[in-house]
Amino acid sequence: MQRTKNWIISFAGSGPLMRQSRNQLMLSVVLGALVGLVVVAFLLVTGRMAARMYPAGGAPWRRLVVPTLGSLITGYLLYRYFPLARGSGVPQTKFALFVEDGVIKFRTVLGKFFLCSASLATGIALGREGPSVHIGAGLASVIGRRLGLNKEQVQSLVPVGAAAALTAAFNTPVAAVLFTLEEIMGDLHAPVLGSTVVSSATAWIVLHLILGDQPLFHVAGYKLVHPLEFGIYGILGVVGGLGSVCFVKLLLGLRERFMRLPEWTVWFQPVVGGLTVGLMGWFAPAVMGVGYNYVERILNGDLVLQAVAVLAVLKIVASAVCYASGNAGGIFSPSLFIGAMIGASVGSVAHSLLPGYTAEPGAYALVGMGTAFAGIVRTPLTSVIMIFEVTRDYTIIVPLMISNLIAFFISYWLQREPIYEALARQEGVFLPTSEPRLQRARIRVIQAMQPATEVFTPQMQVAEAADRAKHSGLNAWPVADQAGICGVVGKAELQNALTQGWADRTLAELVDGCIAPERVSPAKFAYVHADHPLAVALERMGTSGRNVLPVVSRANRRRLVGLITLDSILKSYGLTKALEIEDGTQK
Amino acid sequence: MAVSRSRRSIAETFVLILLAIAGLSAIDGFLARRERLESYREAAGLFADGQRLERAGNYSQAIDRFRGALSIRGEQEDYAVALADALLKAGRLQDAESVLGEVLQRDSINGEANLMIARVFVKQGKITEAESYYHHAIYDQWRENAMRHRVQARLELIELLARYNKQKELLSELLALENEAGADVDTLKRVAHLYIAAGSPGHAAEAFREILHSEARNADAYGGLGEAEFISGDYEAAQREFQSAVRFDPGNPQFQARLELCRQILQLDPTRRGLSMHDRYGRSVELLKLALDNLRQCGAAAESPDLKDLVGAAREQLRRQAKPFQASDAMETNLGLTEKLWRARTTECKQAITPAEQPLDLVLGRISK
Repeated sequence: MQRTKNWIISFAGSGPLMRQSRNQLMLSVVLGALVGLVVVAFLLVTGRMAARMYPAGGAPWRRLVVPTLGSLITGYLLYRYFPLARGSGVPQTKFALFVEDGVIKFRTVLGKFFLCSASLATGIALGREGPSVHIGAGLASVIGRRLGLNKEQVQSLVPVGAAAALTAAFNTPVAAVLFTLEEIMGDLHAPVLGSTVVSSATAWIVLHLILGDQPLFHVAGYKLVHPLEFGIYGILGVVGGLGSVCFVKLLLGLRERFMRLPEWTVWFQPVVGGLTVGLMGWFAPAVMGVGYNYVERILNGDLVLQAVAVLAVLKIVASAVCYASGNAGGIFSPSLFIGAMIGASVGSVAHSLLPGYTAEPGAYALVGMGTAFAGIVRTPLTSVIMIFEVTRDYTIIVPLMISNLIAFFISYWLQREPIYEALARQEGVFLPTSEPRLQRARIRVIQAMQPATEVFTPQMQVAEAADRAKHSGLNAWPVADQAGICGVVGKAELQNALTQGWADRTLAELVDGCIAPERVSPAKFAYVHADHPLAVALERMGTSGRNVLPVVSRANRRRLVGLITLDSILKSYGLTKALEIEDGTQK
Repeated sequence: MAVSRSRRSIAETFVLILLAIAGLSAIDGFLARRERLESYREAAGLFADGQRLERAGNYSQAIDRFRGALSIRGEQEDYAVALADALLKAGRLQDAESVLGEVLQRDSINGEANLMIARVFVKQGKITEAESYYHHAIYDQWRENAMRHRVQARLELIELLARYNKQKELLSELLALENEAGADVDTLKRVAHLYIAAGSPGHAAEAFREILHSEARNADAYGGLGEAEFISGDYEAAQREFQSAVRFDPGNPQFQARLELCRQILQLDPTRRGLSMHDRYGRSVELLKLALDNLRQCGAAAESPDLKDLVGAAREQLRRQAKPFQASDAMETNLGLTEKLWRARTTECKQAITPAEQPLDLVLGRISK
């Protein structure tokens, strides 16, 4: 019995690192389940309340009064009690992650849940996915702090909760993970990948246990009819991109205007959004709320060209006004709605002109959804995977990729700043973007390295090496024989050897890796490869305490291809000149 | 102390989380059930509304309701089929085909969907496809009243085949339908009439007799049987059946007309059993006179020299009075000339055969067989 127990313990691991991984895994599972359940409750409550507030076929006056009154009440509550529950939820999550050390208060989570639910239920033309992300991230933050985790651990839980929430809201586990990494973390290689996958999977299981296995939209299996369609999907990309830019610019422009109004107007600014939706909703109920029922109908071919074109415009205006005026809700659903309408419009025209060469307009509506999402949210990879997951239609994926990419570039060209960063900037917060990271990755070692002219041999005596070192600007030198580099010797080590009276000993005796060829191990000294970004070289210089690193071949780590020095790195960043000028002034 | 307090706090947190999970699972389960119930009710309401609008002929609104119902319950094939039906009635054939195509992709043996898409193809003029889907509809699954639906599908297929004159396929379907019809009189009657259309009066007669076994006073069945006998050329039998039909339905002008026609034919027919040679000769003379009159009336007599010779020969034959021992030969000559004159009348004359000429035409047809 004891032997069995010992075996289990040894298998499960008892070291601190193993315990930490196990704890993180367990926490991810628990968070995934909890967040999944909360978000499912959020979706169900919102949906049922909406069906009661403005039922299909109900009196038009309800569609005017309900959103107006609803925005008045939620606006006051947001202003008075839950100011941080305002808005989409995604920029607020990023704010918490990068500025507030991952802290999201439980009060904010409660406010987001109930007020967003009320807001969307009264017909406000915003989405539920962004708020879900905030709720999930918030729950993760609350639980992490309650468990007494440190700042870094709490921060690492925020994307875990966000991914679980998005999975539950959209039934898109892969897209949720991608979005969390691509948009919230801004880094597809973030270390939290494993945890987000686990929490996302758990949330998906919870969602399926409660709501069953149905995609968000049921669509016909659309296929490419003729290669000519690629051109039309390209046009859709352009139109979708332009539509996305219109929406983003309108939203940001209106938001700026609302923010300039006096402070005392903040609590009833949301009424502007409610009234706008109400007036539009009187004639066009499709504009109200999330609108997924109408999207599904459009995806299945139930459309009239003029109607969908008008709905696209109305939704752009309604969602922009609702968000800008401070209502609680996200922009995912409006993006999909706008995209579906734009796609359906383009598809209708194309199909009427070229019926034998084009698919049904529903196919274009499907691609349009992804196009607008890519243009507005600016996450091209997520948008492709997401459209596939919400419809489970893979056949249209290549046109989707093309169209998304075009929309992304048009949006990038006309609206440089992504919407979430722009919204945060309007609040006075400057969130990190992927640009600096990408910029850093662009300059590589090969662009800054120099030939290895100062190389010592293992047979060289310490005295000779120390003498040569005196006249060198480096503080370390590679030691290489005919077979290649076997180690690195630093100035301090040479000085030490001289002090100990080892002047006539060889470097082979001094440098660990150079004692015998069979014991050479490149792992014993810091090095870089030519394709490493400079940031890696800097990091390794810092760790090793040396201002020079050998650059070795990937195919044979003993083969020395060059040296990279601190000076050459600074020079690559254009800093050496500035330092020289400063030094000259100081002198 | 601080460590144990921390451990207690962690344990408390986990207990709270587990309680929250348990509680939320119950709440979500309840909410999901309510959501399902209410959305199913909403979908059912929209569906019923759609059916009512469709019955009232308001197809565009019906389509809207059905789409609404489908957007809530996309998996419901009934809704999709109803939508397709409304689209079909509204003339939106492509949309109907698209909707049904989706249903059949998910469930290729859905009888209702197969029948509906067959109707779509009929309207589109795609007859081969329509036939194929009618067969699917006949042999695939129906949720309720399967036999009735299969018979209905087969009847529609039969009507399609009759319309496009596909005699062989029509006959094979009719044989299958007769088996399926069982004791259903209405179906049997339809089948019997369709046998006639398929050029199989023998089968038609059997079917009508089958009906008369169970409904001996069915005037329609007598009329149909009479028609079958008439087409077969058995005018005596046809006359008997039409007489029965008139007896049970005296006010039916069609039966009266057919009975009169039979009488005229039988009066003219020189090949009837039981007639004396004198009577046969007399009838042959009558036929020759009729043929000559008809040709003269249509004005084709003056057209060609051959025709003039033929007419001359016919007149000469009529002038001769055959002696009793010559009656048989004379009758053959009369009938031969009558056939030639009638052939000339049908080829040279541009007019269609009139109802008055019909008895002559039918008698000559019978004689030539």
